[in-house]
Amino acid sequence: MQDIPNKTNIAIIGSGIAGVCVAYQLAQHGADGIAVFEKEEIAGEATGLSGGSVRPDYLGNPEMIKAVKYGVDFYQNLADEKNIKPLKGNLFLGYTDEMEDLFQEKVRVLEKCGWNEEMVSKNKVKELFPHLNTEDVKSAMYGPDDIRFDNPYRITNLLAKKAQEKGVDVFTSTPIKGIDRTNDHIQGIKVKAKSGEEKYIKTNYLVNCAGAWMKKINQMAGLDLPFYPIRTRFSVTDPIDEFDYIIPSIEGLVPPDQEPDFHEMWMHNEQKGLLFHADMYYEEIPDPDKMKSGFNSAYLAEIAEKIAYHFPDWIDKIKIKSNVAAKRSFAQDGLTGVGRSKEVSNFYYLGGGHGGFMQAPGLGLALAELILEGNYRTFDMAPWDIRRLTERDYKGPPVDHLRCPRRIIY
Amino acid sequence: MKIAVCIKWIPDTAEKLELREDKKWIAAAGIDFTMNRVDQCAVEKAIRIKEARGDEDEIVVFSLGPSEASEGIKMAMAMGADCGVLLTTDEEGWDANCTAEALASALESRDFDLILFGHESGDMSNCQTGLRVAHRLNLPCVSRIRDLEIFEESASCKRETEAGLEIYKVKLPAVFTTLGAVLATPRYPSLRGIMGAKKKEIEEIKVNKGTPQLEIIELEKITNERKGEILGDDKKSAVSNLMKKLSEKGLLKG
Repeated sequence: MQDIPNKTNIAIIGSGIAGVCVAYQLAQHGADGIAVFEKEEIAGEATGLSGGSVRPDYLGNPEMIKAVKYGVDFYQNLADEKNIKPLKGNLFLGYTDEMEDLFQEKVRVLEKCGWNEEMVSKNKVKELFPHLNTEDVKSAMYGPDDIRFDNPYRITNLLAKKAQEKGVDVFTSTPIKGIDRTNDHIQGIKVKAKSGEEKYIKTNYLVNCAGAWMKKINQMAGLDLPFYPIRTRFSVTDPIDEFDYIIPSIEGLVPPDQEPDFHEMWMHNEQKGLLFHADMYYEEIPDPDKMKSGFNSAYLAEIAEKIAYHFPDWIDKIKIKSNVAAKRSFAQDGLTGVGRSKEVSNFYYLGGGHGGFMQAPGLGLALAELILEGNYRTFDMAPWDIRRLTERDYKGPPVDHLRCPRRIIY
Repeated sequence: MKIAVCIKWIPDTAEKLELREDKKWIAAAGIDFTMNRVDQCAVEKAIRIKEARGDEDEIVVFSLGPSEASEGIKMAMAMGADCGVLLTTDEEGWDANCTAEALASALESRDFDLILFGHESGDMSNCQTGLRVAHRLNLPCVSRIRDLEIFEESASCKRETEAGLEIYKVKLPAVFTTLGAVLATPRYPSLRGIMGAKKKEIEEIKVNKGTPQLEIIELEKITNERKGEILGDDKKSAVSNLMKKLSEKGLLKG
C-alpha cells in the first residue's frame, strides 16, 4: 500500500473523469508531486454511470467545441493504444420547426471547427433505428464520427493508470476530512487514510473535482461557489429480442425555451436492451451521502409513458429491469465551471454542467495550463469561470444550448 | 378465486442504515424504501396462479404503513395485481400482534380463498404476522412454502425445513407464508403494467394500533469485528501475499 505523503505539490480531490484528466494533463506537462484523493473508488459515481459519449452536445462556442474535439482525439488515441473500439454515431432528433433552425445553425458552426455533423432525413433515422417511432420527427442531426464508450468506468481507470505511470499518486478510499485555509491560501488538507488514521498533508495547490461532493469540499475551504449536488435518473430495460443491432446514441430535444415533454430523452444500447434517460427535471439533493433515488410510481409511470411513445411496437415487450440514480454537480446555468477561486489563490475547480466525460480531457488540459502557467493557452476557458454566476459584470460564455439548461428543481 | 397478498414496505436492504437519536428506530431521512423481497415473490406467485387459471381470479394487495407504503402496492399492481388496500397509520411501534389484528379485520369480511405473506420481513424478521393472521381468522396455515399448487377447493404445498421438505394438502381458504425466489422470482414490470398501475385505485383505511404487547426499548447496531486486509495494490503482489498467508496457515498442500 502506498504511504500517504506529508506534502504534495498539487492535491486533486475526486477521481471521476474530471480529477483523473486534470491529474493526467498536469503530469503530461511535467508537474510533479501530484496526488489524487478519492473517498471511494475511481469513477465510482457519476462518471461510471455516464453515457461515455463525446458528441457536439449544445455547443455553440468555438472554444468549447475545440476543447471537446480535442477530447475526441484524446479518447481515440487511448482507445487505439488499448485496442478498444469505441461505438460510433450520435443522433439528435427535433420535433419542432424551431429545432430544425437550431440544428442547421449548429451544423454550420461545427463545420467551421472541422466537426463532421450533418442534417439527415427521417428515412435515415428510420434506417438507423427501425423500431423507433419517427412519426413526429421533424429534423435530425447526425454525427457519424461522434464516439461513445460503453464502459466509461474502464476508460477512466485506464487513464488513471497512465497518470500513475507518469508519477501521479492515486489514493482511493481516502476521504477528505478538512481543509486548512489561512486567509487567501490553502495550506493543507486532512484525509482519512485506509488504515483509519487521519493525516495532514501540506499542499501548494488544491483542485476540487469532487462532482456531487464539490459543494461540501468548497464549504470545507470556506468558499461559497455556486455548485450544487443533483440527482439524475435513468432506466435500463431487459433484453429485447428483435433489438439485435447497434444504434447511435440518440437524444430527443425540445427547444430551450419550451417546457420539456415526452419527446425529450436520451438513449443507447445497454447490453441487449436499452438504457433510457428521461428525467425531465434534475433535482437538487441536500446531501449526496443521503440521497433518495426517488423511483416512485409517478416517476416510473412517466418513464413508461415516454418509452411507450417512442416504441409503440415494443409496448408489450419492454420491461424495466433496473433504475439507476446518479449524483453529480450542477451549476445554475447548466454549464460547466472551471477556474481558480477569486478568494483563495491556490484553489481550483472543475465541475458542473452536462457532458463531463466529453469535456474532461480538454478542460483538464486547460486547467493544467492555468495551474502551471497562470493562464489559459490552448483553450480560453475564462468565460466558464464560476464567477459568471456571482458577479454581474463577469462575462460568461454565450448561452447557446440545444436544450434548456435551467431544468432543475431546488 | 380471490387471492390476498400482504406486503410490507421496508427500508431498502442496500441502504446503509443509521439509528435515530432516541435509538428506537432507524433514521429514515434519505433512505430508500422498497417492497420486502419475499413479499415480491408472494405477489409473483399470486400472479402466476391467476395467469394459469385464467382471468377471473382477483389479486388484492394489502399493506399497513404510512401513506408512502402505497408505493409498494403500486409496485405490486405494476407487476399485475388488480387492486390494493392500504391500512394507513402514522403511528410507530406496531408489533406483530397489532399488525395481524388490523390485517385480519380488513381481510375477514372479504372472503379470500388464498392469503399469501412473505414468510419474513427484511427489516424486523419476526416471521409472525402471517401466522397470527391465520390464527385470528381461524384458517389453516403453512409457513415457509417453496411450492404451491391450487386445486378447486384445496391446495398442495411444500414446506421447507432444515431437515427437508414437508408436503401438505390444505383445505382452502388458507394462509401461506412463502419463501423467496425458490417459490417464484418476481418479474420486471412491463410498460403496460406500470402505466396501468397509475390508473388502479388504492382503498385507504385508517387504522389505530391499539395496545402493543411488545415495545422497542432500544436498538443497537452490531459492530462487525471481522477485519479485512488489503493484500496488495496490484494483482501480482496481492497473489503472492495471499499465497504466503495461506502457506503460513498451513492451508496449501504440496
